[in-house]
Amino acid sequence: MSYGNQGDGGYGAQPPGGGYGQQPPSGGGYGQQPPSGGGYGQQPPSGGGYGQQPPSGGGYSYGQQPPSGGGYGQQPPSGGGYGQQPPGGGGYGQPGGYGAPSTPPDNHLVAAILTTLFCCLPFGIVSIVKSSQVNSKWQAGDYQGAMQASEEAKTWWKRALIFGIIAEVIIVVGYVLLFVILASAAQSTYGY
Amino acid sequence: MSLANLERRGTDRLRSVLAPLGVAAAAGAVFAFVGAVDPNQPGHYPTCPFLWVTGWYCPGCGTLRTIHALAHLDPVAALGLNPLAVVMLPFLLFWWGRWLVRAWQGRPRRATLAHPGWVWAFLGVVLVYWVVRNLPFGAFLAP
Repeated sequence: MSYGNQGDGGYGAQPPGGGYGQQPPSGGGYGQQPPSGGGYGQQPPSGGGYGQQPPSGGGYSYGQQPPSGGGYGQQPPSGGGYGQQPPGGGGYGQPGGYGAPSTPPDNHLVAAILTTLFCCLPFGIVSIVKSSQVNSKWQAGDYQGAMQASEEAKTWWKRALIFGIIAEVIIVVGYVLLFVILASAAQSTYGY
Repeated sequence: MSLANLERRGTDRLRSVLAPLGVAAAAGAVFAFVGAVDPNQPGHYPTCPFLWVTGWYCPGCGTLRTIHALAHLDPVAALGLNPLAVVMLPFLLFWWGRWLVRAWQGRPRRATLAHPGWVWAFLGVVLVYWVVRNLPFGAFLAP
C-alpha cells in the first residue's frame, strides 16, 4: 500500500554508491546493484540479476537498467532517467526478474502483530512465521524465497483479519438469532 | 543526484506522509471509540471467536479492554489484561515513527531487515505466551 510512496521521485536522489544500508549483511555479490529502491524484480528477465549495473552506474530508475540490451530500449545505458521512473513504483508483479532487489521485501511483521495481538483469529501466528522466513531467507540470499514468504505473510494476516471479522459477524448474528428465538418463545409461552 | 532531492518539495513530502498520518488517525479513532464504548460491559463487542469456540485464550484476548484501559490512562489495568499487547505498543510506536520520518525524507519504509533471530524469538514469545496464559500458573497473563 505504501509502496506507492517509493515511486514519487525522491528516491532516486540517493548517490549511487551511497546505499543507505539496503544490502543485507550477508549479501556478497549483491552489493553490485545500484541502490535503486523498490525495484522488486524489475530487472529484465534476460538477466541473471547479479551483475546488472549499468556501465556508468547512474541508473537510478528502479532497476530498469538494461543489462544486455534487453527489452528496455527506452532508456539509455548511461541511465540518466530521472523522469522515466514509473509513477506508481511498486513493481511487485513484474514477471521474470527476481534478480536481486536492493530493497528487502516487507515482512509484514507489524500487520502480523496487529492481527495476532490486537484482534482476530490466531492465524496471525502463521503470518509471524512467514515474517521470520522473510528475514531468514533474505539473509541467506534467497531473495525469491523471501519475496514469496513476504507474499504469504501478507496473505495470512489478511486471512486472519477476514476470518476474524467473519467469525465475529457469525457470533453477533448467532446471538441476535438466539435473542429473537428466546423472545418469540417467551411470547408464545405467554400466549398459552 | 542531489537535484532530485532539492526538487522534492513540500507537496511531495506532504503526500508521502499521508499514509503514516492516516494510520495514526485510524489508531486514534480506534482508541477513542474503544475508550468511549466500554468493552467491560457485556454486549458491546462480540467475543473473541477463538475463546468462544475453544474456551482458551488466544494471544489477543483482552486487547479491547487493554485499549480501553489505556484510553483511560490506566496502564496497570492494561498490563493486567493483555501484557504482551502493552509491551508491543512501544515497538509499534517506534516503527510508526520511523516510517513517518522515512516517508518525510522520501526514503523507503524498509531499508534493512532485522536479524531473523529476533523475529523467530518473537514468534517463540508469542507461542509461549499463548500457552502459558491458559495454564493455571499463568493466570497473571490471562485477561
